[in-house]
Amino acid sequence: MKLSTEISTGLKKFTNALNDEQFELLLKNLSLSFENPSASLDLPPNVAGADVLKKAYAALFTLIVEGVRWKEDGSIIRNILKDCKLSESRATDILNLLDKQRIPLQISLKQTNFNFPHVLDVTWKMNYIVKSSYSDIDGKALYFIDFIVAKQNWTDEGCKFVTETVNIVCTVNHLQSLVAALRAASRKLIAIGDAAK
Amino acid sequence: MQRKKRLMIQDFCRLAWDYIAKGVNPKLYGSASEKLGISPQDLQHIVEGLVSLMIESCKLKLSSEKFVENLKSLEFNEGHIEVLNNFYTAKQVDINHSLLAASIRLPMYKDLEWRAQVQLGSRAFPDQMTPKVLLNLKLENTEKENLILQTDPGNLLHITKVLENALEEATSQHASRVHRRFNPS
Repeated sequence: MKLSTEISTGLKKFTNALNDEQFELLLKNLSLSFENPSASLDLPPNVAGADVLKKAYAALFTLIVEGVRWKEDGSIIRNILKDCKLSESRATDILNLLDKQRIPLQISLKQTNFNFPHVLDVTWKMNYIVKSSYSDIDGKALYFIDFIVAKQNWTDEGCKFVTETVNIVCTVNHLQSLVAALRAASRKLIAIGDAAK
Repeated sequence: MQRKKRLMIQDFCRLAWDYIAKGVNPKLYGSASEKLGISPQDLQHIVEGLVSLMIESCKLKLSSEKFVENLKSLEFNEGHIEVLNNFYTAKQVDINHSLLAASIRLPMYKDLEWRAQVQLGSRAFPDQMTPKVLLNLKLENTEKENLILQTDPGNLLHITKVLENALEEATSQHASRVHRRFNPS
């Protein structure tokens, strides 16, 4: 993992310049930003050292995101922080935050891309056609299948996921063909999984 | 001469299938009528007549023998009957499917293609190993005839299980009872 000069300087110069209260406020803001990507740095009005806080926030935010991006373990991050002359206790606080956010950030980074609607679940109902204007389906079952999908929705505030349903209708024969195709895909994935063990 | 006429009937059948599958296409009649040496209007009437014959025969679920019998009563010659019967038997399933799809416009399932793949990296997350399954749902009666979805292995197994259960319900006692109730014969 390579950090730019600006980020290294930010870590060295500004993070060390913060008092304990400012450092705590910084960690709180970082935590909020990771939990809600559309949230921006929220500082109380007339807070002392706002400019330093902003630069330290940018440096730490980048360090944590890059650490997760490149799957760096805690010891490497601790060494970087040590090189930047951060105290042991502050380094521990930053590493705790990184550990807490590692999985959600990984998921978020994986999804920061184009994705097709993701199938999460499926519901179905079966209707029996008693009589219709087209006689070939009379006395047969018709399935109404709803795929529940998570769809990316890009807005000014970033990417959000919304759930939608994709509706399809099929006969019993068609459902047999659909299930056969899904079974074939499942079997192939299970075989790949078994081979990788 | 006979062979030429048989080829003409085959062309009419092809146009009739195009009509059933995709709807009327006047441009097609313009170019085809020149080739067949008849007016576009006559060609359209012939195709519409053929479409009507095929659809009504499918609706009545006529067997091949019965279909041939009807054509004989309409005084078609042997050669034409053979071509029309071949077309009817080859397209019966497809015509039935088109009729079902057109009866009440619902997004009808046609086919599913799938692809198992692994996402190895992206700009935001360079080093990863994320298994994904791409599903191409082919549909009829909808604006999007190809609907591409994705899922992960866990959800794929889940939806397969749910739809297997759905399929089992078609042969359940309850479904059989309802079927018998409305079809006593």
